[in-house]
Amino acid sequence: MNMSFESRSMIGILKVDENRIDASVAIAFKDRFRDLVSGSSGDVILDLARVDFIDSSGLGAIVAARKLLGGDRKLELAGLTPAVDKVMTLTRMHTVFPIHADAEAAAAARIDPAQAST
Amino acid sequence: MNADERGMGPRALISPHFPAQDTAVRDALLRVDATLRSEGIGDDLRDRTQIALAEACNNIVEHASPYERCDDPAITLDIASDRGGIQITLRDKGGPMPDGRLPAPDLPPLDLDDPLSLPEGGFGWPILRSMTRALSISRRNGQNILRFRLPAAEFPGAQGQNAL
Repeated sequence: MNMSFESRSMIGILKVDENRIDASVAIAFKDRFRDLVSGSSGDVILDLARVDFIDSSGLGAIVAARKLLGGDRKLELAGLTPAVDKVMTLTRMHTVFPIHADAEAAAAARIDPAQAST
Repeated sequence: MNADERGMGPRALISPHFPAQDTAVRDALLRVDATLRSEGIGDDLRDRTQIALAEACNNIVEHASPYERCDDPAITLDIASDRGGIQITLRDKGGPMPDGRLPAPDLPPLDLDDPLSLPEGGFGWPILRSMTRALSISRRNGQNILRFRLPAAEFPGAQGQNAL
């Protein structure tokens, strides 16, 4: 599972370099997420701009990833492609996770909350 | 409906047969998507088809484990198109649906104040039921048959081909 983590001041940006988060990679996603965020602190922005498909197993893995962060850290989503956005909306997960147009907008919103997008 | 539409029944596009297994499902969905793309089907309808097919197939995979004593853990898809959208049939020889009925369409409850209690599953059937039309399940000769449609326009009547 190609995923990378970039630590910025106060936040981390976790980028998924895969086209799909589906049942065949859900467990790998959760394991890789755990490895990447351990040893860091602060909220995490999950950059999904490269992901053009997610199913309910992938969605469950993102929820599990959010829980791994514990109660003191937040998970925010960025760069939702149309199919991913559709699944988030249908399952009302867009009410659970703050959603940003892209990772840079998400990071900028931390500096200037007035720029918080969508 | 004009004369043209009356004469145009569903047209079979692709009928893959593959093991009820995660990576085989992924490959089959990608083949279906490539076929729909080559037929000129638009992004939105293709996305909805992928989402619905994934949930329907994943459900079969989950219930095709060796413990179910299924001697042929495979899925057969039939994908057809007509002017109103995409018609899908899935066949498998796994165990029957409990009670022979479709599971409830309700999403699992979300407690926004307690993120650590969020549900990690239970989304599949609600997604499938809200995204499709004419969803039905039947069982014949030890085979489950799941059928549904993806309308060409997400909100038929609001715009596009189904407006008339």
